[in-house]
Amino acid sequence: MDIRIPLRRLVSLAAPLAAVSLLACGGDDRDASAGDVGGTLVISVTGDADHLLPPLYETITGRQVSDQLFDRLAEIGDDLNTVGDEGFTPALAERWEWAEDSLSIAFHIDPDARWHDGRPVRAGDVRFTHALYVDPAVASPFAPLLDDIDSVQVRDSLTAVVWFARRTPQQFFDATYQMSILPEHLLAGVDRANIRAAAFSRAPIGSGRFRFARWTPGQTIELVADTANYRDRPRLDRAIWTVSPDPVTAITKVLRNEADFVEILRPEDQAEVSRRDDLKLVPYPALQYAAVFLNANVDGTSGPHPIFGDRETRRALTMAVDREAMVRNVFDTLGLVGIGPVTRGVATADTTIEQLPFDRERAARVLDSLGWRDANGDGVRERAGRPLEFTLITPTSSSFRMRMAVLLQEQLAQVGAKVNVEPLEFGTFIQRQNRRRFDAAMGGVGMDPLPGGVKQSWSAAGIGAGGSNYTGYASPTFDALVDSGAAAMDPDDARRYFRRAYETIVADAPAIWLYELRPVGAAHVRIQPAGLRADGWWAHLADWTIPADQRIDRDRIGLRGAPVAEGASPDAGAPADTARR
Amino acid sequence: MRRLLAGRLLQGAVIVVLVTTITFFLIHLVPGEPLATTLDSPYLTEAYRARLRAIYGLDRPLGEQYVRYVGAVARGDLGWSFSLRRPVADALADALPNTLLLMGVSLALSFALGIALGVLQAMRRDTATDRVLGAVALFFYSMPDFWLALMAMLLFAYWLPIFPVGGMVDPVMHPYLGFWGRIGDVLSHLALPALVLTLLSAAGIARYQRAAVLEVVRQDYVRTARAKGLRERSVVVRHLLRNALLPTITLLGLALPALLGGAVFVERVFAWPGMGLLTVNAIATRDYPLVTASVIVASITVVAGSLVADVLYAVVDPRLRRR
Amino acid sequence: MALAVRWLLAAILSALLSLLLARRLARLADAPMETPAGRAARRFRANRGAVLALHLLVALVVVTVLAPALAPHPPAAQPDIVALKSLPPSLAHPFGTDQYSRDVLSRVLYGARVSLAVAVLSVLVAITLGVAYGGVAGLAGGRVDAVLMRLNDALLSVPRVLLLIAVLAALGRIDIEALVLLVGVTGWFGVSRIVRAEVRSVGATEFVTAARALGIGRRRLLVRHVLPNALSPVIVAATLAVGNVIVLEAGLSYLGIGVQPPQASWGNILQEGAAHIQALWWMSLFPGLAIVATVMAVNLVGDGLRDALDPKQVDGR
Repeated sequence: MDIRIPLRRLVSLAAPLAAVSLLACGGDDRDASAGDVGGTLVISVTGDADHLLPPLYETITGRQVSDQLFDRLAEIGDDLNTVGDEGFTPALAERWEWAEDSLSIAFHIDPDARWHDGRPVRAGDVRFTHALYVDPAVASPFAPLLDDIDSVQVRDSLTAVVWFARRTPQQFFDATYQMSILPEHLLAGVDRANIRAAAFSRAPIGSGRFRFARWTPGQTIELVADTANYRDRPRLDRAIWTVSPDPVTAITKVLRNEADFVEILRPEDQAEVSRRDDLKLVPYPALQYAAVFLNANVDGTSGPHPIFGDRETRRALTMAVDREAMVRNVFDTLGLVGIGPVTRGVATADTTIEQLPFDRERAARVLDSLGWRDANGDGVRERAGRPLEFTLITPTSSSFRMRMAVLLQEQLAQVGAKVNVEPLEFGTFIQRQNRRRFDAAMGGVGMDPLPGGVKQSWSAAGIGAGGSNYTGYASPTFDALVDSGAAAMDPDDARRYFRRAYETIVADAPAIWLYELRPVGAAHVRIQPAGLRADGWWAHLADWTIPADQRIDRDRIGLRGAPVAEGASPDAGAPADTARR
Repeated sequence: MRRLLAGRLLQGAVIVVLVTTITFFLIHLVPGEPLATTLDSPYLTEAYRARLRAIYGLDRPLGEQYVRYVGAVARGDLGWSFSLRRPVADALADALPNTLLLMGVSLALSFALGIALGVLQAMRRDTATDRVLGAVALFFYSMPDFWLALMAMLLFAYWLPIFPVGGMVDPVMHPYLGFWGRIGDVLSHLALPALVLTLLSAAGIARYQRAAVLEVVRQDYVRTARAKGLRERSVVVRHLLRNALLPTITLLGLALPALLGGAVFVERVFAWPGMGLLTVNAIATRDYPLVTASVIVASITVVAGSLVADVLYAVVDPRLRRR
Repeated sequence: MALAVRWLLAAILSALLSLLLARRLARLADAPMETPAGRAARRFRANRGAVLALHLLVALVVVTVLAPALAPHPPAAQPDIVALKSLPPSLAHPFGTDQYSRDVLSRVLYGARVSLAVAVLSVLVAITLGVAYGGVAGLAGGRVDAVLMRLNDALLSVPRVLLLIAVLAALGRIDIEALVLLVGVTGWFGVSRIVRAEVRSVGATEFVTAARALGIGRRRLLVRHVLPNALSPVIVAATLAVGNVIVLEAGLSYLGIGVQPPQASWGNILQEGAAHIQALWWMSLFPGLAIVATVMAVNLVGDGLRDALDPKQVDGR
């Protein structure tokens, strides 16, 4: 291993090439930005975007890019509060007023706001956007999230009034967080049923602080600074997403300085990154947790599951698992053991709730007392002729969960429970999970910031079609507490209810709460990330900086547009801003 | 000659239809839905799923789907890629030139290297040179393609960072490079995958070439030429090589499927944006239209390759030319 | 220490087997009567590379069969998932440990069983199919032969790897038995050509004509007289095919569509290793070397057999 360090100092072929590139650029620094603005951020991702149109994207990359190109009426605060408008900051709307009865909110559009083609943003765009999101022909996945919005009315060219069907704690959140405003003048003529094939969705024009530059399918998406943006230009000149087919290559690009930021690292790479002085670790909060769903009642029809139908057996199995060591194995010191159906980043989370301890002997004793004994000496316990053996379905798409599955298998083998890991391709996994055709599932839950979200996954109302309560956990106590918490208008009241709800469910152990995804990314040292929000590290991408004295070749490309086609001279690209004004 | 060509063309067409049929049915007879990944998006409504199924004709009987598929393929319509969200034909059209570049370079290099080594070995038969080269060729011949690729990557991209780890161009700087800069960029990305493919197929060609030369050496006309007192060099060049190279041309047709198979793994390891990578990614995402189409296009490539080899052989071999 | 003793015993066993094999070859070669087998044995023994490779294969088979006794750890054991994970090679773990703290050497040993079994069994399937198809075509002759061979040509020009990839991708996760079958079913095209050619040439010889004249039935003719004569090229082809399939299995498992974990095969150890190629290079290096060594040995033996069994070859090379 030691020989690697001197070797790396060998001049690589890439270095002279990079030098050539600068010459080819002609060193034209006219439009390169001075001071602390400027630079190119290259983000390494594992999947290409699907669409860059906010009502349509289903991929995370699609969302990351769209969020830079399009604005919401207001931005959620970094604490992700969803009750009322506390913490929200102005975006397309410079201010807003609540109606007396709270059934409508008037948003005043920033008069300086412009689409990237130079046309002003108008209240009519808001009305158009809402209509497009909820149009069945568009079939937007986000349409159901806008159910509580009745309509949008244009009071004057700069005032849009959002009317609500009912008063809810999160109505402001619904109107802002779930909707990015689209340009009516460019989309009005588009056939709604075929909007996914529209040219606009592959070369969008928005009002965000970055503007679209180019998209090479499967390879790169490039955005450049919108220098005249009403919310001030981004502090970077350019953001480029570079797509790799797999996580390993994506990480490698950053290790080799071909890219500047990758959102997730494995522990092996974390060790490598911390050894390097040109890279740094970037931990950030997230809203995802993973748990082993223990299906109390397969298919919801065939009666209680012979193993997981029993609360005490579930508790014993939980106690047999050394979750701390598993998390250390997969995430090293940066991981977090799960605390229940919630992550630490959510406003109602409570880390002081008592958890089931890891105690293998106690787990074995409890299993003994429940009648699970290894009578035939094959290393697997039985009860009434039924072995303590079950299948654990696991999605192959998640390397973390695959790894957890292999670890869990061995952990439970130690107390005489046999786990058969069944790796499934993601689509099949979801299908099996949704139809509740599994014993145990290595499930992952991505939460939205709404505290009521927990209801979908764990209350009795979530069992069956449409819901996402895959374990069949049904506790009237838990349900009542969650309902009270979600309806509470006062954040402190809400927290109290939720604490008791979480205590109840943790004690019932419908799942083994494995870990909370505490992602650790890696960035080149010159990159200064800003405001890494739990619902998306990219939320404040336009405020990330690259100090002028640390810039490298690619930071000095400046604002020139990328050449349009392969083979075209780079100088033929039009300067970014001539198209406007 | 014309008859030969027509015959081979017909045979090629039959092969392509056969492959299309086999892959289509195998893939569709498997339990589970071709659209599974797309349709299982939790965001989709049941109505939308039904609409998607109808759009892609998945609500029709299998036989009808097959007829429609073959008809569509014959018109050049290979379907819609669910994972890439674009027509399969477009995706393949983007990937094919990249694969052809990689394979063309590797093919040329491996024939040059393989023939040279094979002839050298045969000329120095049973000497230390022959044995060492034979062992080296066997070493590479026995190696899994992807493993050599991984080791080359470990060695020349990580431990000695001379070459980039993957891709075909520098994703960020490439558009901003000058003409020569771009050529250099592609070449530096091409180096490792081409080296790996070259070594792998040169090993096989060298083994074959050595045997071919030795076969010719035994022939009477070589003995006659030698007996006539011709200089050794002229014997080798005029009589031996000419005849020993002939069978190697047929190897072109045989090497192509192997090279294409190897390219799948090498492209996967080096993220070379060609057909192989496209296919492997399509497998990972269960993008059946793309998998089927890749296999079809790959076998068309193979058929075309062996057709070229046959024609070449006919051109070179006077015995066949007269037909 | 008990482990060292067991390895020693295994070494002695494989030395003994090698010795027996060598003596058997020697006895065949030095037999006073000139038989085809004797001639082949003599030629094979003269090829030092092939003989060495044969002994290596013997050792490999011994180690593979005795894997449970020779592996220092159970292949699935995770002794300490925090302290012992991802360790580079050392005396305690000669091939290092993987990210689950499992011993890579033990996994390579157990993986050998799966990889070799898949290779040998699927080649058996392929040979059976190839002999049947080629035999029928060769014996039938005429139009049937022509049609069967055209079809064979077509099948030969389908890229095998791609076809397997497409099918395995569609099938998703499959059992080892199914993998063996599929690899076998796509592997017989070459063999059937060889068999058919042999059958045609043998069929034209006088003793078959004589047998026919004696009224011996077709099936009996095929089984008793024609096939034994076609045996040697088939043996050579089968040997070389085993090497090929070991590489093929590794490739498919590397793509995640071959042998499925938790069952370890050389290919899927490599697959896991490839995901950590830089940090855990030992996971890719050692199983890869195992493959190369094995396949090289198989190919050397195959080459040796071909030279030894080739009737056109002059004695003594």
